[in-house]
Amino acid sequence: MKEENLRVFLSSIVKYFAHTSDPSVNVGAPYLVDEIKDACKDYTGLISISGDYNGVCYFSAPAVLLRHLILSVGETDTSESMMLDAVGEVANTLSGNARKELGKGFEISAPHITKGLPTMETEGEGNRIYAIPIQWKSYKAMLGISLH
Amino acid sequence: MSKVFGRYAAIIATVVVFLTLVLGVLGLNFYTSFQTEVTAEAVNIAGRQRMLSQRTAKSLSNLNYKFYTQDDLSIDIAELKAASALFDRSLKAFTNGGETNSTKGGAAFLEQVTSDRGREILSQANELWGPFYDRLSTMVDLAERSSLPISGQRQLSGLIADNVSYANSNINQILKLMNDLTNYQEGQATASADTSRLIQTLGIIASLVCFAIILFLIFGQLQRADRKALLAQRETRKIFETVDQGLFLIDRDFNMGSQQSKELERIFSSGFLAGKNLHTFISDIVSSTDLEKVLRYVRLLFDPHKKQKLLQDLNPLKKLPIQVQDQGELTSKYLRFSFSRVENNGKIEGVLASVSDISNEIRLENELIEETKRSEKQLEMISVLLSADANMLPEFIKSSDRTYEKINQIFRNPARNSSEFKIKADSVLTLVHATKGESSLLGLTIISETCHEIEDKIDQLKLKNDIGGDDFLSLTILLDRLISTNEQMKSVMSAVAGHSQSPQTIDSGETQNLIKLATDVSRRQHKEVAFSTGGFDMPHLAPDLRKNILSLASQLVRNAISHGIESSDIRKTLGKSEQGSVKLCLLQENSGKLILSCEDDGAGINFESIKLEASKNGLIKAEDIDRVSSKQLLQLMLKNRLSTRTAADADAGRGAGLSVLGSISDQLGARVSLQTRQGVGAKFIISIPKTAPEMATKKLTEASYA
Repeated sequence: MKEENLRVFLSSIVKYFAHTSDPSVNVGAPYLVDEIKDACKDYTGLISISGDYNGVCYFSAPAVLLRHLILSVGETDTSESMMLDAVGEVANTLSGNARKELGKGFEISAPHITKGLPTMETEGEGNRIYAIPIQWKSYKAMLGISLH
Repeated sequence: MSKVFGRYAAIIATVVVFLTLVLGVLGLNFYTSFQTEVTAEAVNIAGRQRMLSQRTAKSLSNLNYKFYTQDDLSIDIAELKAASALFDRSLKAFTNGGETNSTKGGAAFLEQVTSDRGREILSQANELWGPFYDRLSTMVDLAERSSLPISGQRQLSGLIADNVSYANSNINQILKLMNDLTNYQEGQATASADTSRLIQTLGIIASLVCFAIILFLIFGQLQRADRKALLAQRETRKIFETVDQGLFLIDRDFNMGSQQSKELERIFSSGFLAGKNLHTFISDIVSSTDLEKVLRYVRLLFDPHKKQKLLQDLNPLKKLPIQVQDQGELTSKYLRFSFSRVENNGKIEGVLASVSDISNEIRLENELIEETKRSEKQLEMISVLLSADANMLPEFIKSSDRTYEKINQIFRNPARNSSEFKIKADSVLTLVHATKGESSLLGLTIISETCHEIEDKIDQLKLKNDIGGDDFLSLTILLDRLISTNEQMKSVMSAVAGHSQSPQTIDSGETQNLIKLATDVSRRQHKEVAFSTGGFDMPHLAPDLRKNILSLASQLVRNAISHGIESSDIRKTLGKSEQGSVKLCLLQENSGKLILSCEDDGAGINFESIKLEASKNGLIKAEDIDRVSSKQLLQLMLKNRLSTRTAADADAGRGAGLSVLGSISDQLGARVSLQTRQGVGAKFIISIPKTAPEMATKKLTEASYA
């Protein structure tokens, strides 16, 4: 795992929230988990990565964060589909920036949006996930990255 | 040219024959027309002979009448003369061949009649006409005289009567013969026309046959050519459908040709490539740098001054990365391009490009590299494990796993501000330093170096005013590496049969490890040290306690050599032996208490420097410096990171060594005491109570879930 690759994903998230009503985001110290369920919130947008590196990158947020995010852009509909759309938008940003920044050795899939735990799993021993806590307002979301 | 002639020889020969026949027929036609005209004229002249014979007879009859009626004879004499003369001329022309008056005016040439029948008619006619014409001529000569004497009159009368008599007797025969001559000429003309018609018909038929042969040959040739073309087309299509390369032609303007292999569509995951512009097409799938590379190279291929072989050697497109949309998914591929010029008479007409998808090769290559790396890592790990203390490894792995868990938990614990992140970093530093010592003791440099890297990162991090979570990214990556190393060690150890099940006994291995540690540190610090140790052969000690005692021992040895023992030059100046002495000893008293001591004959502890460092770090107030005791300073050293070294290295300089020592001693409930004299040496004595193992286990558990 390279630090610059982690930073590409992290800065995507920071940039995304920089365009919201509250641009400040607090990033927690990254730690390691073995499975996605250990660092997963209510809604998750996940992209698969293949090519020179294989793995996943996901943004997982609690419903309350997404609800606030939706309201902050003037939307009143905070239904489940809207929240899925919201988390998907963040995952799209991750995917877009990753394609732009990481170069041609990375194949980035379209985002896979789920409520609850994503069905996709990281496989193989030693493929730990870098869980990076993201705090927006008082809500705690999670950026998960596993590349090997 | 000769090849082309050879291929079409039959057709060309037939065409020549055809043209010859056509020309022959035309020539014959022309000749026949001419002959017909001549024959027709002969028929007309023969017909005119009939008329002239009658006119001669009539004129003679009129002359006879007018002679007796004394009328003017001149008109009849002239008419008789003209008619007989023309008859005679024409008869001679028929008989001998020659000119006569044409029926259309002017002269007409008659060929001599040669056939038997013709000659017979003419012979009879000449026999009758010859004497008659002579008499007529004599008569006309006499009649034309202006005045005739009576005798002449009588002679003329006699001639007229004689001629009239001859005419009456023979003119009908002459008319009949002229009629036969006319019929004969007509027969000749008809026969000639029939022959001509027959020849023309045969010529036309031959021409038509020739034309049919030409059509047949041309059609056959075309059919063969079509079959060949079809076969070639089919073969080309099969080749294009089955070849595992993308093939296409490019012109100077980068336009792709209409013929392309099927593979090309698969490679680019796109149909309808024919006629597309290469520049426009690939600009969407390659980077701008690679695009420029492709265009520049293709332009060079069209430059006749550049040698193709050289260009092929310099081909920069042997491994071109592209990204294409395949069924909605963005896919990365690696392509290998190769180009060949298509020349015609030395002129470059285009470039044949062949493209291969080498993604699998690259993937295999990468996998091979990865596999090689993995194997190298495993070999390296085996080498590390072989040189490490096999008995201590399982325990080290277990304890380091716990340490890594603790570090991960520290990362995970929330921090609200920069100072909390700094505390987090300090906590990690202590744990990492202990692991560094232990790994170093076991000879696991791969781990001790990573620990050292973490310490360096933390040092750099602490220099920042504002620390955030993202500053820990590199630390988490290094922690991941440490965990991976442990996993690899476990994997290699489990692969070595029976290794992991080897009994954990305490033997002289620990002593050897300590000696090795002392030797390594002395070498790194460029110091000469006589190291002696003893008392570590205690098989009854619990593994956790043993590990902690060894950690303490390694910190003490590292500290004594790095900080205590002076360099040989300094020792020499001080009047000491060039070789320093470090004695490490573990004793167990009858009460069960363990005494770990480490004594060196180095510089001793410089409490003044410690005081200044402590004051600088705000651990003691400036006004208390003089009042603080050496015992209090020792406690400060054990609780905090104090170092009088200006630079850190792999063995010392961060003040973490004594901090780790203090931390472990606390866990064990041990008491640390220090005897030192500046310039003479120092001796650390650690008293570990009998209940230490239980206490240690309990405290570790608490620490893990704190």
